[in-house]
Amino acid sequence: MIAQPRHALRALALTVTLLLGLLVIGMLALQQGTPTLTPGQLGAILFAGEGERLTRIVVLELRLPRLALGIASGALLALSGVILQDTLRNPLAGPELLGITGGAAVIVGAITIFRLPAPAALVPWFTLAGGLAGGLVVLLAAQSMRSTLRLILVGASVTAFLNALLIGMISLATQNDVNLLFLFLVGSLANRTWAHLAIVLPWALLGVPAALLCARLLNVLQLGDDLAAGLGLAVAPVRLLLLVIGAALVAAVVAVCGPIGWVALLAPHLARRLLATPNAAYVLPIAALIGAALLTSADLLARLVLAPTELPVGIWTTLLGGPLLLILLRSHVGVRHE
Amino acid sequence: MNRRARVVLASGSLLLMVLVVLHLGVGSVSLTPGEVLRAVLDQADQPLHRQIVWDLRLPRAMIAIVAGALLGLAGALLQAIMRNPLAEPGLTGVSAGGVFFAVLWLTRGGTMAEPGRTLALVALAGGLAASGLVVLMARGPSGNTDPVRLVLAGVLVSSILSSATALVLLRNNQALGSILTWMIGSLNGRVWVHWEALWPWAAFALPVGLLCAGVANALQLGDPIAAGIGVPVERARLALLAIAALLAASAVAAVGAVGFVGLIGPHLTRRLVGDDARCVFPGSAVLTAVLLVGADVAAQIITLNPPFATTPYRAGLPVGAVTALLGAPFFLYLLRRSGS
Amino acid sequence: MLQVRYRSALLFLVVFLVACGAPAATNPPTATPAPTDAPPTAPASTSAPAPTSAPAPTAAAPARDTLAFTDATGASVTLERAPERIVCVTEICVDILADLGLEPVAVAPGGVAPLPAFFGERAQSFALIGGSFFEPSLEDIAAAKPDLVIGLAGVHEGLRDGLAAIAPLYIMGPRTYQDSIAYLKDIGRLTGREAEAAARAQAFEAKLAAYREKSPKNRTVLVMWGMDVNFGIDTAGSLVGSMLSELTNYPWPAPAPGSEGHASGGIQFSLEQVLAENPDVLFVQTYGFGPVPPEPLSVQLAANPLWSEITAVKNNEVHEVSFAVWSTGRGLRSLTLVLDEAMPLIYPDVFPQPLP
Repeated sequence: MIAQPRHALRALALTVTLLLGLLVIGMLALQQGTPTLTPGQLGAILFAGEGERLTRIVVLELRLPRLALGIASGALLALSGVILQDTLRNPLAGPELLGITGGAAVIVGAITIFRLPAPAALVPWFTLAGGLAGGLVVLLAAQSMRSTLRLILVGASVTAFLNALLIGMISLATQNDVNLLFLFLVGSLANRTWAHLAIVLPWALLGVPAALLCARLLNVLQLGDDLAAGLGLAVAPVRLLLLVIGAALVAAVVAVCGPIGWVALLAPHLARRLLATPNAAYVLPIAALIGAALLTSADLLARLVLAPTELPVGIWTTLLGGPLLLILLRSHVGVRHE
Repeated sequence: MNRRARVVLASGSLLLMVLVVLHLGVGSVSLTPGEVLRAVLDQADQPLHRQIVWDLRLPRAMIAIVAGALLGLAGALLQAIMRNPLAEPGLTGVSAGGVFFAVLWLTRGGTMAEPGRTLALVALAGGLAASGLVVLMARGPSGNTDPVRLVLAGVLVSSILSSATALVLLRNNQALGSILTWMIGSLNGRVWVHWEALWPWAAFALPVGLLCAGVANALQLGDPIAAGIGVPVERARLALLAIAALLAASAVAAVGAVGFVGLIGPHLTRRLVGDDARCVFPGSAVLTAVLLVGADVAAQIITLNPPFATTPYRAGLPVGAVTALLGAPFFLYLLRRSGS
Repeated sequence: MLQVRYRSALLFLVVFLVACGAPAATNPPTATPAPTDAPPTAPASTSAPAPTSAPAPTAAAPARDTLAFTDATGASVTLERAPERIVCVTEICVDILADLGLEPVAVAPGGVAPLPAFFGERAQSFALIGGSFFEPSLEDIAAAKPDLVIGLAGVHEGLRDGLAAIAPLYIMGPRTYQDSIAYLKDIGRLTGREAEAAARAQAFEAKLAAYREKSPKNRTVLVMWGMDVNFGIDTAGSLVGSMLSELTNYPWPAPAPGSEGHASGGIQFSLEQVLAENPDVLFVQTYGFGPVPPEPLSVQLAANPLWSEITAVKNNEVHEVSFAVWSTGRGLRSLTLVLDEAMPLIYPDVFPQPLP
C-alpha cells in the first residue's frame, strides 16, 4: 500500500466528482418538495435573504438542516464502516452486523417508548454506551475476529436479540404509537431541525478528523497482527481504541436518526472498488463522501417518491443497499478475507 | 447412540411431559395437575375446564411441542451444514420470508375469514421462497455454496425482506397490529385448526430430517473428507438446506418468527451429547421442544403491570418475547466460554 | 443395531404424529352441536356454531335471517339466537352497546367504558379481558361465556380460529362514520333493538346535519398525535377525518385507496405539506403514561421553530383531546362527543355551546 501517484490522482478525481454530485443532490434536496422552487428562487432565498416567509422557513429551517444532517450522518456512518472493516480485517464488519447499531437503537427506543426524561443533548452518550455494549458482546462472544462466519453469526444473533427487545417494547405501546414507533426501527431523517443537527455536529467535528487520522494505524493493521506487532504497534489496545471510535461515530447518528442501515457497510466497499486500493488514507475520505451522497440521495427518494407521505430513509437504504452489497460481496467473500 | 445421548433424550422427554402438564394448568384459570388430567380424560369438574383444556390449551401445547421440535431439528441441521454451532434457522431467510408473504397477502386483499389455514400456507410458501432466494444468492462464481456465503446471503436477504415488509406495512398500516405478534412469535389463539395445518408437514419433515443424520455427519468432517467418503457434497448440502428450510418454514407458519430457541436448543444439545448428528438431531428436537413449551409457560405466568394501565390486569407476553429474553443469558454464556 | 433402534424410534414418532393428527380431525372442538331450541343452560357450548355454518336460509322463518351477519372480513355467520352476552375487545363495541342500552359482559382494559358518557361506575362490574390489546386472552373470553365477540379489523382477525369453540366473532372495520352507523344498525338487528339503533342513527345524522348547516367551513383543522418530530395525522380517510371534512376545511387526503387514514397509528406526513396548509386549529390526541407525565405536545410544538409558524400554534389553538374517545371509540357516541368538543373550539362564535 505504498501511496502511488495514480492512486492519488484517482482519489482527486473521485473527490471532485463526488463533491459535484453532492452539490447537485443538495440543490435538488433544497428545491424539491412543497413548494418546489426554481434555482433562481433558491439562490434568492439562500444568498439574498429574499423570498416569502413560509418558503424561507421551509428551505432554511426544514430542508437545509435535513440536508446537512444527511451529509454528516452519511459521512459518519461510512467512516465507521471503514474503521471497523479494516480493524477487524473483515469485509462484513459494520456497525449493524456487529450489534453496535442495535445496541444504540435499543437505548434510544427505550427512551422514546417509555418517555424517559433524558435531555436531548445527553442521549448520544447513552446510545454510545448501548452501542459499545452491543459491540463488545459480539466481539467477545465471537472470540476470533478473523473468522468471518463466527462474526456474522454472533452479530446476527445479537442484532436479532436487540431487535426483538425493541419490538417487544413497541408492542407494549398503545395502538396509535405502534406505527410511529415501528418507523423508528428503520431510521429516518424526517423533520429534523437545526437543534438535531446541533446534537450531531460536535460528534462530527471531533469524529471526522479523528477517523481520518486513524489512516496510518489502519494501514498497519491491514498487514496482519504479527507484522503490525513487529512494526511496534500495540495491537490489542489499538484495536480496542479503533472499535470505540467506530462506535462513537455512529452513536450520535443513531441517537438522532435511529438505526439507518447499510450505508456503513456499502460505502467502504464502493470506495475501495472505485479507488482500486485499500489504502485507508484514501479510502476514508472517499468513503465519507460516498456515504454522504448515498444517504442524501436516499433521503431525497424518501421525501419525494410518495409525496406527501414520507417514507423513512432507512427503508430505502436497505432496499437499495442490501442487494447492492450482496452483488458486491459475491466476488469478494471467500477470495479476499478468510 | 451413546449413553449420554440416551440419558439426555429420556430426561428431556420426561421434562417435556412435566412441562406440558404445567402448561395445561396455567392461564387465567389455574388448574391443578389433577384437574388437568381429569379434564383431559373427559371427566372435568366443570364444563369450562374441559373447554379450556381441550379447545384452547391442549392444541396450544401440542403445537408448541411440534414447533419446538421442528425448530430444533432445523437448527441442528443448519449447524451441521455450516459446521458452526452458532447457526440458527432464521439464517435461511425463512422467518423474514414468511412474514413478508403474510403481510403481502393480508394487505393485497387476502381475506381473513379463515386465517388458520390460509395464512399458514402463505407463510410457508414465503419461507420456502425466501430460502430459495438465499441459496440462489449464495451461489459462488463456480456455482457452489460455502457456509460463509450462505450465512451472509441469509442475513442480507432477511434484512432486505424485513425492509420490504416495513415498506408494505407503511403503505397499508391496518395490518401492523396483527403482524407485530407474528414477528416476535406467539402461540396465542393457536387451536386445532392450526394443528391440522401443521402436523402433516411435521409428520413428513421430522423423520426425513432425522434420517439425514448420517449425511450431516459426513458434511461436518469438511468438504474434502466428505467428498472422499463419496458424499456428493454440493447436492447434499443443498438437500439438507432444503429440509432445514421446510422444517423451519412449517414452524414459522404455525407460530410466527420465534427466535433463539432454534439456536440455543441445538447448541446446548451439542454441548451435552457431543457432535454425532445421530445423537444431536433427536436430542435437539426434544430439548428445543422443552425450551419452547417452557417459554410459553413462562409467558403465561408472567403478570405484567404495564405502566399505562389504570387497573392492574393480567397482561400476557407473546412467547417470542420470552425466547428473545433467553438470548441474554445465552450470550453471557457464550462470553464466559473460552473460544471453541 | 443402532440403525434398528434408530429407525424404530422414527417409526414411533411418525405413528405418534399421525395418531395425534387424526383424533384432532375427528374430535369436533364444538363438542356438543347445539340444537337450535336447546334450553340455554349449559353456558358456552350451546351458542357456538361453526363459523361457516348452514348457509343463511332465505326461505326459513324471518327470525333466522335477522340472526345472520357478514363481517368486515367477509365471513358469514349465523347465530343460534339473539346475542345477550357480548364481549368487547374493541371500543366500538362498547360504544354500540351503550347506544343500544345494553351492557357488555367483558371489555378490554383501558377503554371508554369507565367514562361518564358511557357506563361510568357500572363499568366496574364488567369483567376485564387480560392479555394485550393485540392478543386478548382467549381464556378470559371463554370464562365470560359470551354469545358474541366483537373485534377490530387489522387486529383481531387471527382470533377467529381460537374463538371457534367459544363464540362467533364479528370483526368490524369502520372507515367512515357511515360505516359506524351501519355497524350500529347491524348489531341492533342482531339483538332485536332495531328501534333504538334507528333512533340513535337518526339523532346522530340530524346533529351532524345541523352542525354542517351552520358551519362556515372556512377554518383549516388538523387532528394529529405523536411528537413534534415523529407525528401521525388523521387523514380524510379516517373516521374523525371523514366527519370533519364535511364540517370544515380538512385538506389531508387519504393516502391510498386501500389503506385507512387512521389505522393503528399513522404514516409520516410531510411537515412541509402541513406548513403549506397552515391549519388554524390543531387537535392533539394524547394519553398519559410513563413515570413522568410527558410534556404536553402543545408545549413541545410551541418550542419548535417549525411548528411555531403554524397559525394554530401561534394563536394558541392547540387542543389536547382524549385518545380513547377520538381514536379508539369509533362509534356514534364517541363521534358525537368529538363533534361536541371540536365544533365549539373550531367555531366559537357560531357554536358557543355544543348543539343539543
